[in-house]
Amino acid sequence: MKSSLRFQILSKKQYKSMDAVFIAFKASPVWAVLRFLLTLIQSLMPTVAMTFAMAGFIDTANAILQNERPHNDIYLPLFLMLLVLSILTTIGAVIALVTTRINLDISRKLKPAIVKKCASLEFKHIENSSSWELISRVSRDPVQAVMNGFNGFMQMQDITISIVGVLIVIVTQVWWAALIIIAFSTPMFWLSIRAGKKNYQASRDNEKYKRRAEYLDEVLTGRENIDERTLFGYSEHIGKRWMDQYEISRKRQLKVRARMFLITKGASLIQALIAVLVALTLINPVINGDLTAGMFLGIVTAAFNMIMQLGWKMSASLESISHVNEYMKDLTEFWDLSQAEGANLEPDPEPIIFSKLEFRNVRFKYPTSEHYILDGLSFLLECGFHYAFVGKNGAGKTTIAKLLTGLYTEYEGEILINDKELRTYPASTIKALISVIYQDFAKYYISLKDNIILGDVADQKAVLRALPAMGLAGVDFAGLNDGYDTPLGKIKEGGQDLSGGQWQRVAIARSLISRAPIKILDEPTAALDPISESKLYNDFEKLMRGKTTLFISHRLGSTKLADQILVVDSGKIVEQGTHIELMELSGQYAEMFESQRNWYK
Amino acid sequence: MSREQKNYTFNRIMLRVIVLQIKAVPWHSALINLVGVFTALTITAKVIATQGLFDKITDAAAGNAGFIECLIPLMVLTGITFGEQILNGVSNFHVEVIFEKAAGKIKTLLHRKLKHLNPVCFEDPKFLDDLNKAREGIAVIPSFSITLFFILSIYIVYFASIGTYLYNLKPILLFTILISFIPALIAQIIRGKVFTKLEEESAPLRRENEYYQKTICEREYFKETRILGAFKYFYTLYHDTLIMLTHKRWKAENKTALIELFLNFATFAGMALSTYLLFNATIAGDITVGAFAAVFGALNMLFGLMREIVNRHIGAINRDIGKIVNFVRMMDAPERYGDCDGNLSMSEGIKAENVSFTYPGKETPAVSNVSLEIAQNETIAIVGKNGAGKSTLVRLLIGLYLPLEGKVLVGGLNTLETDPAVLFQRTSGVFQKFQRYKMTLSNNVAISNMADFNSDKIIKILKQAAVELKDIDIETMLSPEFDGIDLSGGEWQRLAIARGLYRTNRFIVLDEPTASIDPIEETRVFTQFKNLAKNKCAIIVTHRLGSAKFADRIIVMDSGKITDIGTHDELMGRMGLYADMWAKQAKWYEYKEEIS
Repeated sequence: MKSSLRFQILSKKQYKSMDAVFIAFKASPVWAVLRFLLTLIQSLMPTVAMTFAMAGFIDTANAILQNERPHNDIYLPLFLMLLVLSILTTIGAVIALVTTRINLDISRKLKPAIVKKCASLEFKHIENSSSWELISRVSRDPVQAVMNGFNGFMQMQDITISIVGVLIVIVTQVWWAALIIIAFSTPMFWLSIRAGKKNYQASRDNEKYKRRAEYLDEVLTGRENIDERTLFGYSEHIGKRWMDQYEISRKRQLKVRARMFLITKGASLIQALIAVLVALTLINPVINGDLTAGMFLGIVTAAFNMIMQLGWKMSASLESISHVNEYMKDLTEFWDLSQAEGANLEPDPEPIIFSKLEFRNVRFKYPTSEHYILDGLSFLLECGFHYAFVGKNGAGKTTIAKLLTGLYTEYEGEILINDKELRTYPASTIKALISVIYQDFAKYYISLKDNIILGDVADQKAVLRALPAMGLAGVDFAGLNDGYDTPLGKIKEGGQDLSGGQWQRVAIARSLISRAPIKILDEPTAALDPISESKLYNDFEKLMRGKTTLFISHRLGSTKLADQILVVDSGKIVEQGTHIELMELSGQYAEMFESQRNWYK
Repeated sequence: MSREQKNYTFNRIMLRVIVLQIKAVPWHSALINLVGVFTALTITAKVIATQGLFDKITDAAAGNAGFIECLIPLMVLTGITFGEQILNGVSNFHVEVIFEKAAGKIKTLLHRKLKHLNPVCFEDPKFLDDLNKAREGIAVIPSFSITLFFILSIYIVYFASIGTYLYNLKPILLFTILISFIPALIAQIIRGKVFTKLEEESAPLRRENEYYQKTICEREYFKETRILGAFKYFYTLYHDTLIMLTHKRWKAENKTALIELFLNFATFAGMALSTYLLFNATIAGDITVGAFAAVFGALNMLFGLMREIVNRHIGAINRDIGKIVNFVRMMDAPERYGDCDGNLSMSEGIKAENVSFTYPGKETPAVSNVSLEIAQNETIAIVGKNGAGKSTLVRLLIGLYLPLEGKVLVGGLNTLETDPAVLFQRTSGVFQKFQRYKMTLSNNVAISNMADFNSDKIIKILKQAAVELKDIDIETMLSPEFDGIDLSGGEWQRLAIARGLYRTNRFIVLDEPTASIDPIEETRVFTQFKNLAKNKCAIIVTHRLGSAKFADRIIVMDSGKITDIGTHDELMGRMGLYADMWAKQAKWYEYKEEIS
């Protein structure tokens, strides 16, 4: 049912600004129609209704003052006028409520759809900086973006109906005056709409300068570079440069703004002219007795009130519409991003029996790169052994883990698990097969227990194994208020934070509870001092006895524990063997080892 | 520290902000106030002109006035309307100009201020929080002061002038203004109490919901959530909190809408009462029908402006004042100054006498009671575990941090008493958190000594630091974000060393430079540093003992104290902490020895 919702709310290939309205109507049909009707009333009230009410009142009052009608006749027009006034002052609150409802309905449908899409994207989109920016832009606040567009269109409707309303009133009184007004105003509106769009584009072009200024501001105020900033004393210099960039960006922006103001104000002046024109043409009918004084007053008040509002409403709604148009372009592109099959599935309830894993002449390059990071990589790993992958930075070690876990599938050659190609296994099977501890392992701000159980979500009884796993990994929860049910992090009330070392134990316990036969330790030690590093490897090795483990690191601390060491260089395995074998080979491993050992001689 | 001593009353803050604003953009400030006064007068004039026109029209309808007599007041009204629109345009446009321009100028003040603060402030989470708020303060200062300007120029003049007009029509009509004020005031009071509470209730739930979205969509969680197959777990949490949140908000909004409706009715009642007063005056013949229509037409404006001033503006002032106090407090923070006329002579080396240092907000000292002398041209290595206080000591020795007890002399100058510019003139460093500036290659090197920008020197230094230029021009931008190229981690590391070298120095520090590089590169860095450190004071911080061996003396640190000093051989001979650590680290490489 949830997935059918997704297709309801976002099912198209191409999104345009008008889709803000369609999305609103799809997400919240009843309330959106209500909003439409209320806006209709809101635009007719101050114009049409008020004109008639005021005209009725004034004409009656005039008649009474001239003793043509009895005093009591005034109460009905007065009542009508107050009625219109009461609707006018209160309808805003009702519209606000209805709008909130639409907002909430869109929230409930659009946000989950976007989150789901996001979760099922191919991993390359997450690592690629331009598509990642797109994803962030789209998912940051989709509801607000759509609502702004929807409101922009509603405002446009309001403006149009106000104008049409006043025109209709005029037509019923003096039809030819209306014709003059239409002849004057139509081209003006068209022009101002076009100009508004152009201006929006221009202000987007200015983004680059803005970003530069923002970056320099960061350099001047950030925490990261405080040491260099102080010691090198470049604040003055960079400050000047910041000011230059800021002023360039500001002045460009100002130019755009100035044009925008000229246009909207020009439009307002023309609207004012039209109002005057209306008044002018209506004077003679009043003198001739074709139009009552009350009607004249009503129309002129409505017309002049309108120009007060139209100017800014017009530009505001145009801007919202341009904004949502940009958002819809992003949304179209986002919705078009390719998905990974089975990305959101849970692991299989039972992992397959693992016997061996083989890379056969695997070549791989990242989608944005020309360079093959893996270039003819071949090796064979067998069940129950510890393997260490070592090599220089950029040799392709971490890429091996990314391919193994199915994050990238567009490689050449074969990766065989039990002699069967990796890509033919469903994603759920791979998830059940492999467990990884990353260098930047996730710190989930949920309860400690759930943090551990996540290691084996497919097993209902995993909870029974949580406590022993914590014990093995040395997770100490004595200091936590609610034991292992305590929420971690500062998100939930009563949440408590752990130290970095404790978090690392949680990550290990998570991997321990997993029944996956292959465990990968992906560069987990960069931030550790050598003693803590070797302790981590020792612990891990002890706990993972009987499993197949892959240590990936540029440090050599892991090699002591490995049954086999694989040296990766330029995307290939250049050396493989035990420590002794590799040292006798006097190759790259020996060089690395010697270069470190020399320091300890 | 002295932060809380000052008392920031509302009036004082208001005054400072206005002065700040006027200093930043004096002419614009004058103009906007002038335009404001005229705008206010125009709004009132328009009501009067409208009355004039309506009176004539009523006469015309009764057959007492001709076309020309009606035309004149219409032209007056036209003139005023045009004037109003133009003033409005100038004013709105100017607000934008002032926003950006003043924000830029005020930000410069902050940049200058930060330059003079103690770097250790940046280790204090409270300071960073304050800084963040101060930056938000900059964004609201222009709008805050413009609101104040507007209250003075537009609103007060408008209410005064329209009041005079109403009083002249009939004194009792002056009540209209009072009546407009009451509903606005009630609204503000209720808003403040009820709405804040409603917001507070849903805030934790929203935070939770946003967090669950992160666990699914954010980069730092993405890989792991996918491979664990934890999507369903987090999606359920996400969806549940979303439904709860929207449900709660809907309930709150219902309440809000009811209150809002009530407030609108109060406004309506005020307008109805005003209309009734007008109506009575009209029927009694005290004011003309034209005046009735003109004032009735302007009621909306009157009530609208009153609500705007009380709700929006005063609300905004209340909301922003906190951020602005933060900014003002930041600007008042104590600065680091010192003598500029001291003479730095590195032949005196570096001396630390009983130095202690504690980070702000922490209880245990990071460095306690350390004394040390480094002679001219001596190379020192500081070793110890994570958190032993190595980096802190180095910052004290350079003079980046100032000791809380004891003193440090760099080249004979006391770091506590010397101006940083003088103190740092011969000091350079490569830090663990070296920066990857999104600037050109040449700037990335020369940023350590901006006063002396020299292309030939940059190229020479790049070669020295073994940065492989290949076909890269030194003016290449090093950031894909700004249409440039990116470098690999190793290349950035070398670049950071080039940066440290570019600065003229007789004293250089290398602070744990090897966290993210492989062993071969690491060895290269240390060997290179050994060569660089010749003929100057040099300090290397490392947790790899092997790489410290070449130093003239090695300092062993543990829990903020120096536990041992000596050459490698001396320390090994003492069988202390150093020898113990050495054994542990060397152990990895030992089983080789047994074989060979």
